[in-house]
Amino acid sequence: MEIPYIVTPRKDTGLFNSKIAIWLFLASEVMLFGGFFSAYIFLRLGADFPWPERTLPVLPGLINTFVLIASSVTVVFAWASLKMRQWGKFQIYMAFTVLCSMVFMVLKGIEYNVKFHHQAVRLKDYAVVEGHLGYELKDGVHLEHGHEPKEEDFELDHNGKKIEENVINYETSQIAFNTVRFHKPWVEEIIARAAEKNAKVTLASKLELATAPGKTVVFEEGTPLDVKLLESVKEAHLAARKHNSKERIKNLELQWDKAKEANPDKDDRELAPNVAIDTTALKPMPEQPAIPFKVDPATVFRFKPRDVKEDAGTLRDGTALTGKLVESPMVFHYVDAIDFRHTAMKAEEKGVDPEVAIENSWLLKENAELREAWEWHKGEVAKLEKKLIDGYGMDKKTGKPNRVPTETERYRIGWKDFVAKANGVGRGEEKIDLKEEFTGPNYDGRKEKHTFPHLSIPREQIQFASKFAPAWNTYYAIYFTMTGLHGLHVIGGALVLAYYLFCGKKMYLSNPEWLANRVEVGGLFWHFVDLVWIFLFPILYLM
Amino acid sequence: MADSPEAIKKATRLYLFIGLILFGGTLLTVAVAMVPWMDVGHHGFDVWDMVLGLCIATVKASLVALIFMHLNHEKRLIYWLFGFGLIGAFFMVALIALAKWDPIRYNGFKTGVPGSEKIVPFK
Repeated sequence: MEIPYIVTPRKDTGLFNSKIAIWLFLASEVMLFGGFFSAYIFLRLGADFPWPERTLPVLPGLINTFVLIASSVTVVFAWASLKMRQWGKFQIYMAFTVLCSMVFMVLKGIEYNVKFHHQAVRLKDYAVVEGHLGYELKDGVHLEHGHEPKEEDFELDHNGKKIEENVINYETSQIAFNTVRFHKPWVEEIIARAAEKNAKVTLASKLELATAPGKTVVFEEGTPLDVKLLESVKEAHLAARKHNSKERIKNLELQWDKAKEANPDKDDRELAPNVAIDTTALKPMPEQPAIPFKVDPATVFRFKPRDVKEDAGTLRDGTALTGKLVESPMVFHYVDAIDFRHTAMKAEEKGVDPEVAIENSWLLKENAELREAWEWHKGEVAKLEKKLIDGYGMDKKTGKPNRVPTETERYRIGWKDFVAKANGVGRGEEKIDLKEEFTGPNYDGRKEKHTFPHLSIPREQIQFASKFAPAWNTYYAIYFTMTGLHGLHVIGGALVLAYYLFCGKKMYLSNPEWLANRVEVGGLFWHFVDLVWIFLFPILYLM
Repeated sequence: MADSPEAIKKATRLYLFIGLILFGGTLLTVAVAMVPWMDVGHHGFDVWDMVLGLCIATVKASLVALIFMHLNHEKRLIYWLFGFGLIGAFFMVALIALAKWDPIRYNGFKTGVPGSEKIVPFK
């Protein structure tokens, strides 16, 4: 079937059909992104925490803006080349456009990756610590500055991966696995850990179950823990549940019929409350909702914080641990920022002087290195205050300075500030490598100077911890949503443009105008992608 | 829209020029946010930075739409379609007004206890 009006315009509209189609699509896209911009404004206005203004590294965002603008120019050049029937030039311009889209996505990927590995934690007093965790060393030793551990010194999980210094240590003497919901990787981790520590995890009591009436299976006391064993028990348990529930329904139906027979005149609704299952007549198969194991000797197992309810010693899959919680600090090998904006905000809400609240924070009271950094920071803030007064003067009416440092400058020590302090220069005069502008601080390169403090945070001080992922706060949630959606548009657009580049020759030879129209339509979408980024860049990076 | 090869050749110079303006606009956006003496309003980010930043972005976006997307001389139907899209987007952004002036929000009852304006939520 021939599609009408894809080369020549329709008389009534004056347009070829694909152009109307893409504009219809773009109109819907405008509304879609409009909704997300609305969400951004809503989240920002309603934020109950200090909105992280100008928090992202600007350079990658700036380069990406240039890349998209350049690709917008070349895509329109590619279309113009086709109109002038210059296939060679079209190929060059289109190849450049597709290359730009790849550069954009690679830079975006680097940005995302850095965030997914960057740890943040909000303490009980609302102070925020940012940085990178270390990896656990064997026998619960934590990695300290100045140590150069070998590969074999690190603790590994059952997959052979290094374990971050952010685990809940639970000394366990008994484990009751949830029969239905037990999580296999955790069982495997427990088995591996017990083997490593020469501990035995064995069935605490003999279990007599049945997979069908009269078909008994026995699990002897002392059987070692095994995923297969748990699965067999689960099978028997589920079979028993199914059987028992059928029995109960059958019995209830029988009781109902009996009751109806005895009281033919009674209304169903009157009868219902008095009909119950005759439990004495049931022959249920044994159910086993939890499978008890004992651990001999008691062994420390490690769990991710999100996988364990600490107080109750219950895992997220319902497995219950008996024993005690062992000290489980969260250890930052490198602290690259401390931020008291939230502490100050909370203090102001309570009518407390923010400076007093910060001075009394756990971070400054208990950590000499951070206290030293804070004292340095206060000196820098004073310098900045003076500089602003010298530059912009005082307001004659109120007697207050015309310009004062921002909340961020007042209450946050960022990674560049730590570098400035270590280099012995003032804030803003530090030397930063170009690579660091993209990926954040180069810890290893600066390690000898102790640029970034080491910090061990007791579990009870932690209010909330997350990587810089959507969970950290609503700013990152909307950042990832909007840039993620935009990134998908970049990928989609690039695929279409690459298709014209690599598969367009045949169409160019047979019907060049048709290809030109297609490229125009693809180009319109590409310009729209650029247009969205023109707004995303300032609102996410600069405001 | 430029359709003849000659007209298109002429238009490419315009496209390049607009591209340069967009580059310049981007640098300006960053400069007004980062360079102290170009900072409008108070020191650091404030509402004037937002207004200025969004104005520059709007100008840039308009150039992309007008020149690169040929909206400066398009057929009427396209204007209708795009116009409806913009109106839709306006209402999407205006959704936040619902959070501020929610017509179906329930504020509870005033207790009527003398001297008390305490609001008791409805259960």
